[in-house]
Amino acid sequence: MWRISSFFSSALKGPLTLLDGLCLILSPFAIIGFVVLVIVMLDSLGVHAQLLEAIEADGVDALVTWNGVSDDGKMAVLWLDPQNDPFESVIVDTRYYSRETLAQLKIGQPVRIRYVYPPKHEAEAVLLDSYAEVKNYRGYFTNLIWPFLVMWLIVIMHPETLFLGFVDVFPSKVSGAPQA
Amino acid sequence: MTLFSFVFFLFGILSEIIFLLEAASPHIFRMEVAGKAEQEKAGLGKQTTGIAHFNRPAMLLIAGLAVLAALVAGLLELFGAGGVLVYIDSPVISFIFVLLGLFVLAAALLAKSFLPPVNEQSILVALCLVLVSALWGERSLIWLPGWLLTVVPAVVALALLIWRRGFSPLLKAVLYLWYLLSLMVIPFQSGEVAFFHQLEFNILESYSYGILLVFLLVHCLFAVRFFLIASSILVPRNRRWVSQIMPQLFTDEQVPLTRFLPVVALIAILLLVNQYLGLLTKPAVISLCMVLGVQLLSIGQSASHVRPAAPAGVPTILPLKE
Repeated sequence: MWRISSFFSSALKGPLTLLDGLCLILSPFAIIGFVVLVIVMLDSLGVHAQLLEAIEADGVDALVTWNGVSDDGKMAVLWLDPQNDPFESVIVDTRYYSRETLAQLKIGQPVRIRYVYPPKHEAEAVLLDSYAEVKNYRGYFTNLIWPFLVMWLIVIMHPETLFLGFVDVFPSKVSGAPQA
Repeated sequence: MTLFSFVFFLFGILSEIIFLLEAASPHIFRMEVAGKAEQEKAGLGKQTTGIAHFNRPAMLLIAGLAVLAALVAGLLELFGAGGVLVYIDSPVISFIFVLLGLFVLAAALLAKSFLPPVNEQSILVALCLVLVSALWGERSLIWLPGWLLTVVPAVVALALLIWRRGFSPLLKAVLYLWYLLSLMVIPFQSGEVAFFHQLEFNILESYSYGILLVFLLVHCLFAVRFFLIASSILVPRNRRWVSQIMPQLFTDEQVPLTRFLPVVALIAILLLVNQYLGLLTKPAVISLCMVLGVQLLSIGQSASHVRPAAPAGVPTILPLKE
């Protein structure tokens, strides 16, 4: 029994040391990546909160025709009054909606939207019947959660760079060592 | 923002940089470097109280900047350029903001020289202001865990203030992290970040927002760094480093009551005066009071005055004085 555990511990020691060294090398980059991700997440959260606030405070309801999503699938452009004003359009950001919701919408189908006039929120609109999805959207966290957790774990394992300026974490010589 | 307002906004930014430097590194503003014994003899090692607060090189520098800002603003008005709108994408303004960005980055990296060391008193004031904001602000805190997360650390800070004994650096790290996050609560909860997007500012708003911008940016960036530092406690081998840095950020030294009570009274007066005159929005004045409280309760305290308390076996930077 002892031999088996000893075998596994010696077999794991090499890969673990390698992983530890890799974390040490990647740690400074992980710190920068972590900070950038936090800024991106907070910015997205702020943009989302502002959109909800603007929609709820100054939103205007309209019934428009669904034109389908753009080629890259990121948005849908809807014309408010195509007969009288061919340039007055609003944008629906498709990331707020599930695939099922978007799949149910057929081109030419009337949809109820709520939008905010420019310049308040760049004429962004939401689908009124699926407003709960917009309100509960947390994609800016969930889409980035894995890189966020990996970077966090790397920094937790080797946070030495974080202590620079406070503590000498990479001492050039050991103080108190016996002199030759 | 008009050019006239921008002058005072810039003045606010520069004042805050001076305040931060003075609170964290008071030696920079000492006229002459003397030995510790000579400094103590001259009263430099002691905490300043009363009128001595306003008779310091940093305050004189800020007063000089105020006169300069007033002169420049007056000249701009005289030549009819005060009302010219300035935009962040214009070369001079963007250059100023690039410099500000570099300063914020440097301040977050060299936090020891820029962040005022806090104590239980400043944490208590900051958390009480979060409570004031929750009870009296434009948007009340309706989330129950939010209440608990505000009230519990405030009670802990009060208990530690009364208890007057050093405690574990790891507990200090948790409390300090919560303090940093509570500084961000008011601007984020109230959507007050939007006040930086306003088009028109009066002199007081411009100056206050300059101060808040620097203070919040520096603390926000450091909060991310400190969040990582605090979470590194999970690995036991990192705890010794956390124990070493905490005395540099969190001091056990408290300001005397003769200074603490006037600061609290000043904050209360500011809140009440603003309530009647409506000079600033509620979240802005509460955030400003938080900045004021933290800095006034930190001035005169530097890392050299800390009394580190660590459990047996945990290394500390300075030996215990007692």
